[in-house]
Amino acid sequence: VTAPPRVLLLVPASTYRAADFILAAERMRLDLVVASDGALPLGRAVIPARSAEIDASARRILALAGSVDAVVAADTPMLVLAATVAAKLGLPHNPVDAVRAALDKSAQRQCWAAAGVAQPSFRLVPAGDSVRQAAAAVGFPCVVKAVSLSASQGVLRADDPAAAAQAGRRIRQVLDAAERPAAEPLLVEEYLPGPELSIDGVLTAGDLTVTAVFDKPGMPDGPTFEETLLVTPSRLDAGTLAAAVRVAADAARALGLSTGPVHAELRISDRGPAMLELAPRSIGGLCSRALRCPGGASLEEIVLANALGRPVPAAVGPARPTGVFMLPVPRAGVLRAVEGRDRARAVPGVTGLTITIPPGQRVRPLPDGDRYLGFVFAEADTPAGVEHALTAAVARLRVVIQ
Amino acid sequence: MDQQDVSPETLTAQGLGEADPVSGGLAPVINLSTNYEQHPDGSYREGRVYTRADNPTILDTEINPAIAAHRGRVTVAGVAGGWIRVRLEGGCQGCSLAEVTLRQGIEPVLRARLPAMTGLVDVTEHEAGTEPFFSPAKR
Repeated sequence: VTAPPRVLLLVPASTYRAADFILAAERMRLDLVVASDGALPLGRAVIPARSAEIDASARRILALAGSVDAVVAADTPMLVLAATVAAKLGLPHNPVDAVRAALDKSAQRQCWAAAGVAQPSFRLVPAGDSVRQAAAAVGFPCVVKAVSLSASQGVLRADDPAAAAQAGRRIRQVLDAAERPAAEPLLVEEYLPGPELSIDGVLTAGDLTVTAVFDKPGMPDGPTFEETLLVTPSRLDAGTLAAAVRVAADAARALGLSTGPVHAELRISDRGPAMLELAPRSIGGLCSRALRCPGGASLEEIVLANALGRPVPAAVGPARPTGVFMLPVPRAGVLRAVEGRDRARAVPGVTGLTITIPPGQRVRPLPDGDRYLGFVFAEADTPAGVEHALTAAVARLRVVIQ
Repeated sequence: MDQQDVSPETLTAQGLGEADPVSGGLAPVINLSTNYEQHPDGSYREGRVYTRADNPTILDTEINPAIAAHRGRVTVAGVAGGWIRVRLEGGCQGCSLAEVTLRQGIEPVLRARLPAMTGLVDVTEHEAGTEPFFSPAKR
């Protein structure tokens, strides 16, 4: 009897992603070793690991994990540690510097500029420098954003010099609240109008296999950029999609990424597809639950299989059009209830609804907040049907915030 | 009798207690006991009975005391076909690492004590949790 493959899964304490990866590993009958900064109350099987202490955590993992066949980070905070550990174990991995570059929006933009990857024009604004001048150089409208945050946190559109300066001050407040270093630069970039999409895939020796392309039909024009609707497959024409995938693959390659999942976000402007951001991880939140790959595999199973060196089938995608609606926080306050859930679930096509913030917790909208209230899932015969089901379901919800 | 000869339902019920399908309440663990019944002639007849009272479960003795450190608690929602359905409460309900605790902490303990167990199923309504020990955060 052959022993099951052994996978080291690095799980940050605050994540939506732990359960889906663990259930995927169970379905694949993998022997899982978990390292986490969330100390568990029971058992000694979880290795303590802190993303802020890379070297010490890597040493501890190497001493305690034993032999493993793959290393996977369940979410963003563990990406650098995962690459570090995999490198020391001689397993396929992204270079640590490539992961660091991919987690820093300023490094990302500079890598892509050097490689000629299509993207908005941009200016970096060191702490203390004038956002107004950088915005004037980029042109209006522009987008001012933090280089270290994600999920549209700390991102604001500005339509004139005064608004750009105000956005810069506002984003500095968000960074302070997030306890980011005061010396962190800001990014000012050209606002690109046009449809937005996300491309998820896995890299094998630098080659990108796409697992899903989501349209984002509900993207606002600003001043904040809540991601709400994600619908797959994309309704964009095949030529545009192929060009977008090429840009995403070029972007990953320019960063030096070679293995594992990527989640790329692009806009289709009148100049063609342009990179907004790329992260060396699978899609965030609970969004992967909108996907079912051939054979019923989840996206997490695809990621684990890829990490183990197993082939990932090309052109995988959902059997039917599916989608997810991420519920944004409408205003600041204390969440008391999300009413109308049964009525929302009763909308034809809706397959699930999960509220992920408990009642009683304080919530903040963008640009300050970093969480969604929950997720609604749907499937239908067409992408338009998915979009209709999701928007109809969300219209039946009433969010009570005091 | 070898423990492997006992049905999974009996083993898991002995180890964990079981939810009463009628009342919905948690029935205490079943343990075999010996009962002595006095006959009119003064002799005693010995018989085996099942008792449910005052028998601490594995959850009571090994799991819940540890999980209480995170303000959590585990109860059994049912046992069928060797599958144990558990409900996580308190700090475990809605916790981002609940699945890790379940698979890396609770399941190994139960497997060691209940070898006939097929698996654990989490039936917790996590979205209703109001005080998760670790909250899911940003995407």
